[in-house]
Amino acid sequence: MSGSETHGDRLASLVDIDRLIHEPARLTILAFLTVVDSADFVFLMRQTGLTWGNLSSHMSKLEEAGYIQVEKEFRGRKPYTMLHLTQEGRVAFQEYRHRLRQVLDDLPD
Amino acid sequence: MSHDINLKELERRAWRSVFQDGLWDIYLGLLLLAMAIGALLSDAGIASETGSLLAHVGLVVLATLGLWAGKRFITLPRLGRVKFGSKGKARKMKAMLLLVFSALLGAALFVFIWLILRQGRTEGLPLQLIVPAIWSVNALVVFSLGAYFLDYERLYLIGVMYAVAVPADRLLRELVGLDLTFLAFGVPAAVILITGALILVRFLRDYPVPEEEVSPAEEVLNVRQ
Repeated sequence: MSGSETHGDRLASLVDIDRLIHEPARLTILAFLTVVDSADFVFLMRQTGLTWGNLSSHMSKLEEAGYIQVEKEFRGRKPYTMLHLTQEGRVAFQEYRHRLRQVLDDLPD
Repeated sequence: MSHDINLKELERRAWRSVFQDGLWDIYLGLLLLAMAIGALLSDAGIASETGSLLAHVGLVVLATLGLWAGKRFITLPRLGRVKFGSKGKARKMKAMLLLVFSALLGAALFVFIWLILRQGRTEGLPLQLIVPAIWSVNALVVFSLGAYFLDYERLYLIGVMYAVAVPADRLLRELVGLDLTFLAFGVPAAVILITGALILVRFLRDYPVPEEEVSPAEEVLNVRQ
């Protein structure tokens, strides 16, 4: 394998990175949903430090991509919305971490 | 951005948020205060032994209801809901087993000492030292293990406050010659309560209830329906 091919492969890895996840706010949201079973909107807002509007917008994009799932639950009569990572989202997040780590490790100092 | 995402740190942060409202501190402080009030009622002759025991149980029930209401009406609207996965459940299970073991150990020791006293085999036994020592060691071990397993560091301080109560009671009795059980339990309880109250005030200041809005998740659901 020549040096230029290796360089090209590295660039390809970088280009193939999931851009939906690469956005810092969405990355933070997915990271939090990876470490918990499920959480509601307020909890994610507190943990990520995002505003309501910002979080809304990012959640919608992640939901459209099928990375997170929205479920309505009831405590007594009061409904609340819980969000959790889908299997697709978990795989995409792991793949993203793997690729990013690979690209950064391969970069020269 | 760091080289890698520290998921362990994120998980720890999410887990520790459960204790940042100070309500558990206040609850544990109230349990110790209930012992102090029970002792005061009994020592001051305000209530019989049974009456003070009932008052103690009543205060424990009230404190437990207060903890539930506080979590329900203060913490949840401000901090939101979270369900932890298998690791969180394992942590809770360890803590629960620890509490059950502690309660069983405490009951066994209580029965053991009661049997010794009943049979009058107290000659040569320094009970005035043994009872406080057992209490203190039990409190320190249980709260320290709880602090470790639950990642709830203030439990170390709470453990020390619980541990000093009975030895302080004995010491005051020896030094002053008066029954000051209320103070021996009340002062450590006050330390825990003040700490918890300060943490609660900071929590209320830092986490106001978010304005009522329809979450995007709900909007998505509405669109689907």
